[in-house]
Amino acid sequence: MRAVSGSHLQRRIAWALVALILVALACGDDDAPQVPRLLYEDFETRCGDLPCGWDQIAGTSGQARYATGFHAGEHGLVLEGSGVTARGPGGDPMSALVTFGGLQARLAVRCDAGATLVLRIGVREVADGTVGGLRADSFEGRLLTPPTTWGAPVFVNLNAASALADGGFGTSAPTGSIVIDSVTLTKTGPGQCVIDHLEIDDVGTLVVSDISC
Amino acid sequence: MQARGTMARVSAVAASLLWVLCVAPAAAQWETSPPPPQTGQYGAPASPWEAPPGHTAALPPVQLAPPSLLETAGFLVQTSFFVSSTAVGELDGALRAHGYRSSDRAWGGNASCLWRAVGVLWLGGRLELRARDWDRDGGVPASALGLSGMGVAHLRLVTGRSFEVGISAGAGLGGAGLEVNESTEVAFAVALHAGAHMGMNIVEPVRAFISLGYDFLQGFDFNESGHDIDLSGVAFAAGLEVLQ
Repeated sequence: MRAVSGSHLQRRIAWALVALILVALACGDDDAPQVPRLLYEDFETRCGDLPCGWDQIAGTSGQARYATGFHAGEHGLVLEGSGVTARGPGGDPMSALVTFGGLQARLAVRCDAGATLVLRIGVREVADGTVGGLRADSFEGRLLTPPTTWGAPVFVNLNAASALADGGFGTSAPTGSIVIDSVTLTKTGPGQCVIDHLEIDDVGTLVVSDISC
Repeated sequence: MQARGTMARVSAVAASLLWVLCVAPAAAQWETSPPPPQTGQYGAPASPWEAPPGHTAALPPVQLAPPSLLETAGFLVQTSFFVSSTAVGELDGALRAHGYRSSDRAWGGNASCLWRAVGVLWLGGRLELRARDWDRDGGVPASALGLSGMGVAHLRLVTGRSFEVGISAGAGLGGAGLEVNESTEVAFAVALHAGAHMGMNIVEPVRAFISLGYDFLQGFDFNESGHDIDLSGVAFAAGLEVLQ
């Protein structure tokens, strides 16, 4: 075995260190998977007293408004008091293939103790690239004990709320492309709820992607 | 999940100690050192003309290698860059809820000045900048930045003419900020450091070193939910220092 002189060893160690640092720096984030979402709403744009694309449809005026969320750079929809309902969506609705017939919402939300939140969405079938009017349905999810501090994502399963006379999705577990028609958020109970972020998609697809080396 | 994170940190610290205790001394054995002088009866170079017993003539001085700069220096300036693991806290959960992805790496750099207080003990100060970010699908990433100033102490043991190992610790104060959608909130931060390092000469008085340690930098309660901006983690650093 060939002996290694001190200076050679030092040089080798130095190169090994450089290689280690380069590997560490190259250890980047993977590209995010492209998840087809039915709705992605971050409530960041403001139109008057409300996030753009949202209206208050129940309760007294001013019960729904635009406000700062968990950080000065994050904004949301505030629902104050009981019996207030806001309707959207503000974000661009996208069509997506639903493979299980069930939908799920992921929210960043904080409510005062005792408040409850009901989320209801209306969907329509997309056929041949156009939104049809024949098959429509609504899905509903309830958040009976919403978090009182900003924390991890809140997942709400949206179940078929009504089987419309036209034979909507609620009567079966179809596979097809749908688009969101409307989103309503109804708050009951004391205090306020702030909804900072809302995503809706097929059950199981709203998974947070990890970063790997 | 928390226990796994703690185990990972403990393992990293153990690995760094193994490095310092085992790898560095082994590497030092490869150091070239001058062969031991062949001495005669009176310490003078061996010669066939050895002086007889009782002879008291003046002997030529023994040529000793001059002490290395490592042993005589009293001041050093160093700078390093590092990558670090990240701590996962409530803020990460809140950011995930807002559509941000996880953040598994922090990075940064620091600069230190140290004076030899006594023997192997060096004391000084360090300025450090640390950053981490959270990507967002189709959006602007959120980023956290921490700046700290701390007092540091090093114990530096010379293991050869050019190798050195040591441990370091420090404590200080600073600030941490979180930028989301081009808006920044800041918080008062506490900084702590503990680690081990190994250095070697490149060209005197410049030396290279690597270090492995745990750095704590946390800005407290920046929002109403009491979230902390945490930039702590196990850091691997590489840098240069100049001795004087």
